[in-house]
Amino acid sequence: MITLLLRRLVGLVVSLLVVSVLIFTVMDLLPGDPASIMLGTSASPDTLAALQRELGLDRPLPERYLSWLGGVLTGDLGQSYTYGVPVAGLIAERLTLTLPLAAMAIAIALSVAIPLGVEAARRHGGVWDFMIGLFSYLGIALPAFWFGLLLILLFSVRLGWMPAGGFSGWQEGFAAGMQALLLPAIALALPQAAVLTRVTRTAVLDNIGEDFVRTARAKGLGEGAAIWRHAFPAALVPITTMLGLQFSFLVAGAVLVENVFNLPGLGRLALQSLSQRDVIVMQDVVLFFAALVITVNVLVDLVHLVVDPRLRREAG
Amino acid sequence: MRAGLRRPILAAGLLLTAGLVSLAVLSLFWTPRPPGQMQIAMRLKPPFEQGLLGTDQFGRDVASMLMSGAWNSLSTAMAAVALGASLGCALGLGAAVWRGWAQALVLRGCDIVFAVPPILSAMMLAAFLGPGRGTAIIAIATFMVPVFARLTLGGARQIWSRPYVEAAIGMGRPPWRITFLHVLPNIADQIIVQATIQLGLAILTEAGLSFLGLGMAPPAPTWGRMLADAQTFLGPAPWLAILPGLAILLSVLGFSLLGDGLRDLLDPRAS
Amino acid sequence: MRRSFFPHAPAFLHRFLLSAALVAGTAFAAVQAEAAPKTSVTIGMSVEPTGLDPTIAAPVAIGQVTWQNIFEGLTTVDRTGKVQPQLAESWEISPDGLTYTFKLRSGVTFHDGEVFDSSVARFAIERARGETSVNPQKRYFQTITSIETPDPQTLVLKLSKPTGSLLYWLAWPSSSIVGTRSAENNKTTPVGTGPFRFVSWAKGDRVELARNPDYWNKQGAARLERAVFRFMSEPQAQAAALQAGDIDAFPEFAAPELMQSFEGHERLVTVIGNTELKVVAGMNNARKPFDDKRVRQALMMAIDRNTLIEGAWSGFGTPIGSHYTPNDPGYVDLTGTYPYDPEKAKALLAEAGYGNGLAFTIKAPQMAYAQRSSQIMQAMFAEIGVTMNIETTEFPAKWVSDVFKGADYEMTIVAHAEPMDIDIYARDPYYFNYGNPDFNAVLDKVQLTSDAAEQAVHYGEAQKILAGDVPALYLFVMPKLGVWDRKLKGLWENEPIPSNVLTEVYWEE
Repeated sequence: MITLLLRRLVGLVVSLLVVSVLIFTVMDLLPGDPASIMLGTSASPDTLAALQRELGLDRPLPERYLSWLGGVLTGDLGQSYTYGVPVAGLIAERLTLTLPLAAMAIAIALSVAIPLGVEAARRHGGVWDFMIGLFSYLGIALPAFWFGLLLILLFSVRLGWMPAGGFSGWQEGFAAGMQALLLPAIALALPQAAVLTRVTRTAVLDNIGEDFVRTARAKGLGEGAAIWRHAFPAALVPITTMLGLQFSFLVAGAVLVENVFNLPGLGRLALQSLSQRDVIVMQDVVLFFAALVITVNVLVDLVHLVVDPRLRREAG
Repeated sequence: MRAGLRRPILAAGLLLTAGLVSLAVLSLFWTPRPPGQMQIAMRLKPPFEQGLLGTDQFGRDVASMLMSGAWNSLSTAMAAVALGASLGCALGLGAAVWRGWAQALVLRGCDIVFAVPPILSAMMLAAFLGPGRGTAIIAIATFMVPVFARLTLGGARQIWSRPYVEAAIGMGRPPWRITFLHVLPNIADQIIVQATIQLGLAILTEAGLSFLGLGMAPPAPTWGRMLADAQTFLGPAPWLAILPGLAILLSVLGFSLLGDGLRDLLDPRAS
Repeated sequence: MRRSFFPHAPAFLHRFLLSAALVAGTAFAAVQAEAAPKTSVTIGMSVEPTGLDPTIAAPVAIGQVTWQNIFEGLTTVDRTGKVQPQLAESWEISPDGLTYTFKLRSGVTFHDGEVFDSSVARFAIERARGETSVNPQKRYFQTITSIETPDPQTLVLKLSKPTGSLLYWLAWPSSSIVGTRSAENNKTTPVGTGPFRFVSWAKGDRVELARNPDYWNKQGAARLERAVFRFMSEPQAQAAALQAGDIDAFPEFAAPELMQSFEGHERLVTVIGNTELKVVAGMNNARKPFDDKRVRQALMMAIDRNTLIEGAWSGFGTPIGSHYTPNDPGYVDLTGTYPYDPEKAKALLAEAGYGNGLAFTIKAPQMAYAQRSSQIMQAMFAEIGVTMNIETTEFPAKWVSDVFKGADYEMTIVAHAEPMDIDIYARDPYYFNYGNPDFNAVLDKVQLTSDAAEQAVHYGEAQKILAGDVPALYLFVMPKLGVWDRKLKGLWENEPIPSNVLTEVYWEE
């Protein structure tokens, strides 16, 4: 099992390298370069050449790539062309928004999906099951960015309860920060909640019939308690798996939702660096996203080992 | 146990998708008004006051734009799924034949595609090719390829290990014949179901790309761009934001219901 | 005075937020702020600057944060666009117009304590015009042949030929005077001589400035203690932040269609001012069919500017007939040269040999004004049998490389932000590929004199040539859509140069 994990890790590192070469090349091939964007429309050719020299853009592509890669391996993510500051700081700054947003979205999604999924399984075939099924179908079909617009329309434009977007950082207080992130987190969470509800329902249903639930019932536990104590823990495996799989969708959805809510998160940083042709920032952000997705997936594997006794036995 | 629900799901899916397809096709021949026609004097009129569903910021008829947008969304999504599915299936089937390094390569490729958030790669692609329908199709198809590659690879490997296929190998049949005679027909059900579900996702992704300005060029209306344009009119003209979103929601819902309904019909055990 | 922090919140939410604020320890500060007169302001901007040194990068957002707040120049322009002395107290121009002698102000220090004198001024100008200069307006300094500093308070510029606009150019953000010690780091931590000093920059969100207590001009010192620039690109969010009071002023509000929503607001006022933003659909004059003047004129006549302004910018905007705005010196209204007349346009097209129609592509940036104007033009051109395809071209990256540098386009549309840039039609190469010797000759005459009245006459002539030749379709000037708190005074209503000058801003009691 450990060797399997290791092999997967090595494979993923190789993937990351390929991704980084691809991004570097593509960004270089894109029309426009950071220097001419910074200097605008009145600059003379010699000014442009001077800036390109200053930024090191006159060096050949492989050389620039290798020096970036060397930096990353020694923990230096490089400097942003446009901002002129270390990228690590830029990313860290944005993470104070993106991480709480993702965490909030996951928390909301789980706290909706698990009760609904368990309830649907318990009353499968009934009206509640049908309603919850309908909810999950609708939720999956719901475009998160549109849902975000509707939330703004209702809570900001009509009712005026919530800010329509923007995030002033945590220095204005925890409450203000949470308030700014609540609507975007709900917009992000709903489609995830729909998927997870379905997974929970199926997984609990699969386990309801199994022997240990039957035994638990025989031992005098009520139906609800039996489900929560026995069928539900077994259902955690598919739920975490799905959560891991959905993580990249969550990140992707965040790019659009950040756009709708005008949040200075990591997704916006990526879009901005793309439009400024700030290769270094783009590289680092995409790699960060990729590494995040991969780490989450590895973590999910580990959770499986802990949660599912059968897997542990196989691994042992 | 979901028998009672199976038919309604299929029926609802069929109803929604049939409605979408017929509106889309109808828009090629008739719309209440030409979808691109502007009447600046009639701008931002609410539903029923001007046309069935009101007008946008240029005084264009929203109902006509939605119909025309249905065709644009549907055709883009179908092209993307067709492209992604055929490429993905070819890769998956091929990998199942050759195994070894080919299979490793395909799987690794899938990992790489999945590792980058799709919106970002789509934006890079758009910056490279310029926005437009072709770009949207390629971008969406790119993320369909690994889905279908994994699906067919998994399915095909099961079929390849079946006794009668092993017998066929023993008889010296060439791999491509076995693939077309035995493997493909056996996993076609799964591919069709998956393609239907992906069609819904493709419509969703296309809307996202258009929303970011990476879809078809104006004057061709797309639901995503209608939403993006509506963003600043949220206060004065909320219907501009509500209607295209509803259209997207119902279309995606239709295809996912249809996909699930088909799965139940074709392979009752899978549910 | 507002009674509640969250006027629209229902009771339970109100209580929750209030207690949360108490926990966070901010309530006390908020109460205090309400009692004393306000001494800080939060200004909203749509675009975040990329770096904070206007002398090394072009984006106007940089100047909008730093110019006159952090950085100052030898000269400056006032609210009306007139050149005024600043770090140079006075100047003398030799009769041949080739020697400028500046008397510099004494007692000026940079925020880091460096003393401003002629050697610093020389350093700043040398840095802008030298070999390794990355100044976006380096050409403004190209006629300077030598810089002399006979004493610390005197700076002498020797020119190779008369440069009538030099004093105006020296007022630009890109001509800001920077310190010898601090210049290198101005991109991230700007240090200037202005009434505000830089405090912090949270990327993607805000830049904070604080009053400079040691400002050289005691009469002109800032009245605010603190100023914050916040960056918000979505108009809906801008509007909400204004309504909620999170932002005190949006001097350049991004969505004209939302201006109506502020009308009759108890706390906010809308202020429509002038800018230098000329929305112009440039054509590649070297390429068929745009090499034929009649085609360009016909297209001009196909456009009903007022309808276009109504549809694209909710009626906010002034039609223009050439590359010049009504607030520029010597403006002539030339919108009547080729007025809207589809019939005449068709006839002219037929005369040019395009009676059966014409098809071309416009490369339009993704900005709202460009996309909307293009779509309306598309519909208007269709009326005279012209098919225009719209190709959205990412701005700035792809637009600069394809259209601006490569001149690989047929038609494009962009708002030219630089004030008084009618000379771009005389530049070679420039993306219009216009090349009219008569026009160039007129513009040369402008530089030969520093007499404003005489310059105005030449500028009038230049405008007429452009209006007749139509190297680009002249559409409209974007107004400055300002929305701010009623009690906030002293902001510039007009924008002779893209800026947010906060020196005279204060809160009325």
